[in-house]
Amino acid sequence: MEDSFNAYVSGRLAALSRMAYLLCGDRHAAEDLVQVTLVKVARHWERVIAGGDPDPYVRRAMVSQHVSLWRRRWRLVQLTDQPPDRPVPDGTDHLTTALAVQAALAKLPPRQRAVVVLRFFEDLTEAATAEAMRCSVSTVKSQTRDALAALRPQLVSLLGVTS
Amino acid sequence: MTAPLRATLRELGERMPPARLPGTAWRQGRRQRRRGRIVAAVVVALLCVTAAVVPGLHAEPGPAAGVPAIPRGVELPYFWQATVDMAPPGQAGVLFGGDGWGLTGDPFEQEGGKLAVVGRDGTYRMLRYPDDMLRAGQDVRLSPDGNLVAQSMLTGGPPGWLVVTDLRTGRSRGYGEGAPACCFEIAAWRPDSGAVLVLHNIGDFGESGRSAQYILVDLAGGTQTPVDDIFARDPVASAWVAAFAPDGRGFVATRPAADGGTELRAYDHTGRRLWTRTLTARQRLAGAGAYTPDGAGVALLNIDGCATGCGRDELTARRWQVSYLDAATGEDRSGPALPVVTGAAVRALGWHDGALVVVRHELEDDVLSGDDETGWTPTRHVSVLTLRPDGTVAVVLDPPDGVTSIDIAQDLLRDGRFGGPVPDPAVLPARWSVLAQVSLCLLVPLLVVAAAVVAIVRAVRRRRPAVR
Repeated sequence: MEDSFNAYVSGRLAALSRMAYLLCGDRHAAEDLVQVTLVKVARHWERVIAGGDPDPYVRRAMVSQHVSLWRRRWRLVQLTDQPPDRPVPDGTDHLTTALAVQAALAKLPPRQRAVVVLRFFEDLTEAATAEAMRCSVSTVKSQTRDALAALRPQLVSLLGVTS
Repeated sequence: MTAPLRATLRELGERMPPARLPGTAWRQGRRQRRRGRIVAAVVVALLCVTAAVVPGLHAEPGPAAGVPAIPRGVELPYFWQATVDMAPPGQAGVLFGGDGWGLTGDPFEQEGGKLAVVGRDGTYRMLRYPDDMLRAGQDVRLSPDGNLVAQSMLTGGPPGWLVVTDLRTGRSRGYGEGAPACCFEIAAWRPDSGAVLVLHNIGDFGESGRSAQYILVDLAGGTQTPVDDIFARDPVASAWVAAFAPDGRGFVATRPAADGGTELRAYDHTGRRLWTRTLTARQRLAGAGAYTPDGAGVALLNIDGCATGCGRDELTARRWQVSYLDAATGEDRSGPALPVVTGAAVRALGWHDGALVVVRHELEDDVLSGDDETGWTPTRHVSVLTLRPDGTVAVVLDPPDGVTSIDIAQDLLRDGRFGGPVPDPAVLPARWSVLAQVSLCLLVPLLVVAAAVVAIVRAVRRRRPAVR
């Protein structure tokens, strides 16, 4: 049992880390999210593999954990005497673009961010995204629409696209 | 815009190196699993001891007084409450679920969910499920006579995509081939409790959702009769999906229409289509209790307010008005004027003496736009109301917070036996698995105490000759 878990983790750790990073927008938080998710998965590993492919369960657990952590965010707020660093777009390189998208993603509510990551990073269908988020397909559609509307100003100016 | 977004997300993702794992995730997970069980065993042991010594905490169920009736309310069950298969409750009056104490996964079984069955003598028994978000009256339905429960899956249940549990014996029977199917939908019971209309998921996900088909399953013979053709189902319409005529000779069922609305189709008892009626985005089939008692009309619920893609405030401000269709033709017809109900969602359970009995859903504070208004997560509380032709609305069953779904046996509704006393859940019997784990947990300290006693006795005996 432990061997199959370890094999899964070693095979999927990089991909799970990337997904967690896009959900959290922060490396340390992403590492925490991956660890907490995998501990939870280990706790229920028998049931996870009984359903076949562990990925849908792990994805759902990660999104759920991410939303839960966001809901408890007031406990994690850190007050500082200096304003946090913000990316300043200079319009000259792809790094700026990525930073601006990252900043725009960070402003999205957690479920909209999850929709963007699942739909456009994990390339899931709307129905599979709905399954991962435990909501309806129409909710996925509306959340996607709202998220893209929120991202559009940054993307239009920085990516040079019009729609 | 999505292509650059995909590329940018990929580029962003590449910046994240594989997370550093301490290498103990497996051990941590297993330790948490063991720790949870030990803590639960200790808690249960303490509670059992408390129950045994504190007067007033009965091990026997608290029977509802006199003739069986729909209770005014229910209590939340204990999380170790016995399951239906272990100690059948007999004919039930109420089935409910939610996210309150005793209704979610517990330390002994962290995974999965539960629904509570309230027997007519006031006993509480649990049905356990691999999925933790099943709803009474939508995903799991109590038969009209209160003897059976239909569901698409059951922990420890038989294989099949329809599982029917007999509450009198605790035994379950599976229908259909293959493993229990996720997201399978129980649409409605035939009034004689002899057949179930189910919505069978077919094939994989498409962009518009799962393909599905209605199937009428006869419980005695196991006959499966496909009804109409295959369509792309709406996964969030289960509150208003289908209803049987009181005589069981026909039924109506909904499906998404091509223009985004809903089609209501009527069938005879063999599944032959009789008529089709398109409902607007503001109209819903009233629910499993939509047919009027004489079978001549089908009740619809009309939304005054936001119909789709609504925020929480808009959902909460919705006003629901009952209108009617002719059951024979699908045309509009008149019917008893009933008072308007305000609430996020309303679904009809049945009728009594001209009054429509409905379930009203109240929402959590953090509901997002587009969430299923009858979903397990968005719903904070449900209550059961009667809408009377004299314009009055009365609450007939008000469960505690944390109860987010409910179903009531049709025979009690039809007879109007409301106002029964609120039964208290009994501390015992507990689930076998809980008792076994508690016993193991208690065995260790008992062995330690016994070993200590033996050691002390031996030490005393060894010292006695020296004293002399």
